[in-house]
Amino acid sequence: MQMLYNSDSFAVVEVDLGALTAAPGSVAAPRGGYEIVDKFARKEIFIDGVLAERFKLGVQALVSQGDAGEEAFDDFIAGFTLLGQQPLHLH
Amino acid sequence: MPASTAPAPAAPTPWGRRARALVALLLAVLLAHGWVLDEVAGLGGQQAAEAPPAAAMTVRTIEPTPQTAAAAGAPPLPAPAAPAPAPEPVARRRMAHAPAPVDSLPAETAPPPSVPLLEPGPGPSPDVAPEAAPDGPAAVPPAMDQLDNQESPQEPPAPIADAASAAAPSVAVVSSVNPAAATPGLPTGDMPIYPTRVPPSAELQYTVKRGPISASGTLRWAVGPQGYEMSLVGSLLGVTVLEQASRGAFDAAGLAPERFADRRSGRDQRAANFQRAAGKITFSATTNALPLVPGAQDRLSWMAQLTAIALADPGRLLPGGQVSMFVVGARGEGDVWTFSVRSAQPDGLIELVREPRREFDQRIEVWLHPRRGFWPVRALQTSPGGDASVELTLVDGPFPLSVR
Repeated sequence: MQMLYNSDSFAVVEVDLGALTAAPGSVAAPRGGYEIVDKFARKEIFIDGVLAERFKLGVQALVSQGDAGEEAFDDFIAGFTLLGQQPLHLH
Repeated sequence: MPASTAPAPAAPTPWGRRARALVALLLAVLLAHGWVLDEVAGLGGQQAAEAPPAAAMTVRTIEPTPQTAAAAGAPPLPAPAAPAPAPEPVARRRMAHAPAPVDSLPAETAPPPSVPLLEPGPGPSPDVAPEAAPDGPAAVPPAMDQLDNQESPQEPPAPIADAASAAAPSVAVVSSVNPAAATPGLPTGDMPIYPTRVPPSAELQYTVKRGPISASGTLRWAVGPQGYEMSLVGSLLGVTVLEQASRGAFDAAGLAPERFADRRSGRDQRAANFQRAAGKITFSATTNALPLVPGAQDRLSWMAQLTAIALADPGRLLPGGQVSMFVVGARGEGDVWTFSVRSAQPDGLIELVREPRREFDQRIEVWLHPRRGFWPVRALQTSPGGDASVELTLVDGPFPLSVR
C-alpha cells in the first residue's frame, strides 16, 4: 500500500497484493491495482487488471511530460472514477 | 498610356483563376464524395444507377449523381494539386515563428541583472573576508535566538497551512522565480565552519511529496577514498520524477561538493560546478557565477552536511543553537541558510527551521533523529510565495549501502 497521489479531489493508493501474499524470500509477480477515492462523491473504486494497466500508463505519460499540474491529474483520474458512478443494475 | 492598359488584362486573370480554382475545387469535392460513397456502397453502386426504385434502398438513390459527376470529373484530377500549395507556406511560417519567442524569452530575461553585481564577489571573499567578518556572524546569533524563541510558540501551525495552500500551483513556477531572487542571498561575511564527522555510507528510503504527488525516493550516500557521492532519485510508477546527484570531497568545513546535477521530469538536467581553484560556483543554466565560500553546499549535500555536523557535535543542536551554510541550487540561485533549532524532543528528535529571509524565499524545516544516524527523518520545503512544497519523509533506513 503506497499513497501515490493526494489532492483536494482524489486520493490514489497503489495496492500490491503480490507483495502481501508472497512467500518469504520469494519475488512475487506484481499483482494488484489502484484504489481511487473520490473525495467529493465520497466513493472509492478499486481497479485492477487491464484497467489498472491503462491507469498506470496514463499516469506515466502525465508524469513524463513534467509540468503536468494538479488539474491534469485530477482530470485524468476523474475519467476512471466515473466508472464507479455507473450502477450495475442498469446494464 | 501603358499605365491604363496594363491593369486591364490583369483584372480578368484573377477572376479566371478564381473561377478555375472554384470549378476544380467543386470537381474535387464531388470526386471525393463519389469515391467515398463508391467505397461504402461497394458493389451496389452500379445496380443503383440502373434501378433506383428499390423500396428499402432509399439511401442508395443519392448515389447516381455523384457517380456521374465522378465519371465526368476524372480528367481534372490534377486541379486539386494547384490550390493545395497555397496554405502550406502559411503553415510553415507559423511553425517557424511560433517556437522562437517561447524558447528564447524566459531563458534570456533571467541572467542579465545578476551578472554585474557578482563580478567583484569571487576574488576577495575566500581570503580577505575572514578578517573583516568576525563582527557579522557573532553579532547576529543572539538576536536571532531571541526572535526564534519568541516566535516559536506561534509558528508551528504556519508551515502546515503553507504546505496545503502551496500545493495547488504547478511546480513550473519555481524556475522562473528563483534566479531573479538569487543575488540578495549572498553571504555578507565569512560563513562559520563547524566540526564535522563524515556519516558512514548509507541508503535511505523516503517518500517524496511534491504537490499532490507522492513518489518513492531513494537517498544514497557513498563515501570512498576519493570523496563522496550522493544521490536522491524519486520515481512514480517506475517513472523518474526527480533526480539529484552531488559528488565531491571533504575539507576542513566538511562536505566540499564539486558538482551538483538536478533533473526534474520532462526537463533538461541542470548542474552547478564548484570550481575550487577559481573560487567560484558556475552553472549550466546561466552565465551567472556565485562566490565559492567555505562550507558551501548544494541543494542535496546540505542534508548530509547537517548530518555530519550533528554527528560531530550533537550539543550544537540544542534549542537555540544555530547552523549556517551557503546553499546553491542548479539554476544559479544561492542563499545563506541559517537553521535554528526549534525544538529537541526527549527521545532525541531535533527540529531545525530555516525561516525565509524575504518574499518568495523558502522555508526549510528538517527533523533529525539520532537513532537514524542523524539523517533527516523529515524535511519540508515550502515557499510562502506559493510555489509547490516538497516534503521528504523517511520510510526506512539508513541501511548499509548495497554493493552494486
